[in-house]
Amino acid sequence: MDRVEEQRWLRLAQRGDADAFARLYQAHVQAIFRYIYHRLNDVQLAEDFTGDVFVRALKGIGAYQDQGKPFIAWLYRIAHARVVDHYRRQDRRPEDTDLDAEPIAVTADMDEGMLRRQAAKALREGLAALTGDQQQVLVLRFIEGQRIEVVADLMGKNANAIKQLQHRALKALAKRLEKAGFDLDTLLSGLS
Amino acid sequence: MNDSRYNPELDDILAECLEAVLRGQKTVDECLRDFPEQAVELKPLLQVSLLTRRMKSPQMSADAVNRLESRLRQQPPPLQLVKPAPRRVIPLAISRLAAVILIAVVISLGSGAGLVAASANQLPGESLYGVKRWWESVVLVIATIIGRLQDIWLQLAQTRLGEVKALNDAGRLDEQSLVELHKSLYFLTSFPDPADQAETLAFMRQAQNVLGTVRPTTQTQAVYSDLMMITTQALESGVIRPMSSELPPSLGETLPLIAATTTPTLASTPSPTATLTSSPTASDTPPPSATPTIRQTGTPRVPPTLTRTPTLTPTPTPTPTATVTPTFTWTPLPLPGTRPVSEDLQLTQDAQLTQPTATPDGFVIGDPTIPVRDTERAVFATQTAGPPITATSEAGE
Repeated sequence: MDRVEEQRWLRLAQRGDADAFARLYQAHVQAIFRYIYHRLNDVQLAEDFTGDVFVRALKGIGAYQDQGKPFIAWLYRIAHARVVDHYRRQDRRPEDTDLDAEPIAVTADMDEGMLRRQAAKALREGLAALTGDQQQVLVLRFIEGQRIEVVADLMGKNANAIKQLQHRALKALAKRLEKAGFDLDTLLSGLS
Repeated sequence: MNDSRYNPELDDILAECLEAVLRGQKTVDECLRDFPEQAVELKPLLQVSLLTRRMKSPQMSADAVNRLESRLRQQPPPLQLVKPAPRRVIPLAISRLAAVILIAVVISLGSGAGLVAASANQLPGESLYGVKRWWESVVLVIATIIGRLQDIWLQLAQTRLGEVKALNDAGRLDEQSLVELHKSLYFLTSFPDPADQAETLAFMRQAQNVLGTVRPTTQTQAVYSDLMMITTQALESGVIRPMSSELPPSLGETLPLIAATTTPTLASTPSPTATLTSSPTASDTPPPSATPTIRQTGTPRVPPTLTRTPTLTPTPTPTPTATVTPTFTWTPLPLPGTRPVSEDLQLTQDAQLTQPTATPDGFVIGDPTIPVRDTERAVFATQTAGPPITATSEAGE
């Protein structure tokens, strides 16, 4: 869906056209689901929260103002707020998780497939344990494939702040995998 | 890797290498060769970024999609702020001729303004319906002059549709009302401006919904079928094309054009007014003895009128009011599996996407240099720099 088409559906959706909102929903539902999933590492929660995001978007679309940014930017903000709210209700913050907590260690009897599965598990857990901003940057940059300028725009920060966030986040993840005994060269070569 | 200080220069180098590696322009080793002093720190960061990039992402299950659909269907329609759209304001710099006509109309309406207002909700067969149609014809003339014809025809089509619905609800829908609706569609589709295709399609959908509630009689069956065919074709093709005839195909050339009433009075028997022909003329002597006509060019606008159409239209008083549209309907959404593969799935096209019911694990096997997706880039590239996203209460911030 290009920007012109998206603006057209937005105008119609704001006038109560359910089909127009359905098109916006179809265009973005999976991206929002992935974003929430990777921040929470929980499929069920991600599904529920994705629903919350679109219900909230539907309720607020009448007041939505197109400020030159894609509609998904607004959806990401709603999703981010929903995740933050979840952590608040759980009375914890993502950074409260002990990054030094022992991930599953590599053992000699692990075959390549199991190694990759464990590494992926460690990565997911590590991602969910990052700060909110770090999670956002990693998910938007490396899972959704957005550029730094775009992520900066979405998060309301400058490019330097995004660079610093991604540096810290990658470092935290690398540390987690290193601590668990994973060899990154072996992991990557096995994926070629 | 115990460096606890973050070097801005390293941030930039890392960002530059990530961009090159993720786009497939360089390998990790090539980046490390470009920056040998930072190689030790850079390597694990680049490797982790690639691993993160290849993490499999689940899709929402069909059950979850259906549940979300149900939730959305149960939601009330969104509140809308109805305010006069800027483009509906008649510009001050109108031609002298238009100004003269406007003044003449205002003067002529001086004693009849109440009639015009009172006729706004009239239906065919009611006493002031003629006044309503006369006013529409006047507006069409003005709209032709100021070049807002297309908007006028959308409003008129919505008005005709509203009349059809109201008459159907009252059990007195006649063939002529359907013919009038057909005429308004004919003129509406005469302006295939791509920018307005979506609005016209939305109207076609609305029309089909209303027609779906109509039980055609022997008298109305033919024209009803014509209208259903027109709306169905438009919705199925997704493209608005000009119609071939002002009259419904089933009536051909045999149906005489509807004559306009010339004098709107309280005592007159209402009948359809404002015959639409091909040459615009304007009369400055109200009530018009000549039939106001329009040329099918330009884009008119209809001043706000109170109608019974189910869609929201600007009220005569240009005051923003919050209303709830009554036309909120929901159609079933296709399941994720029926959609074409989107760009966001192409990144993992070599991998099997796991279903959320199974624990997604593992990585995408294949080309380690997965290019950055272009979808959002193309979208964002069209944007100009603007202020940060305004936090709304819905965003919960």
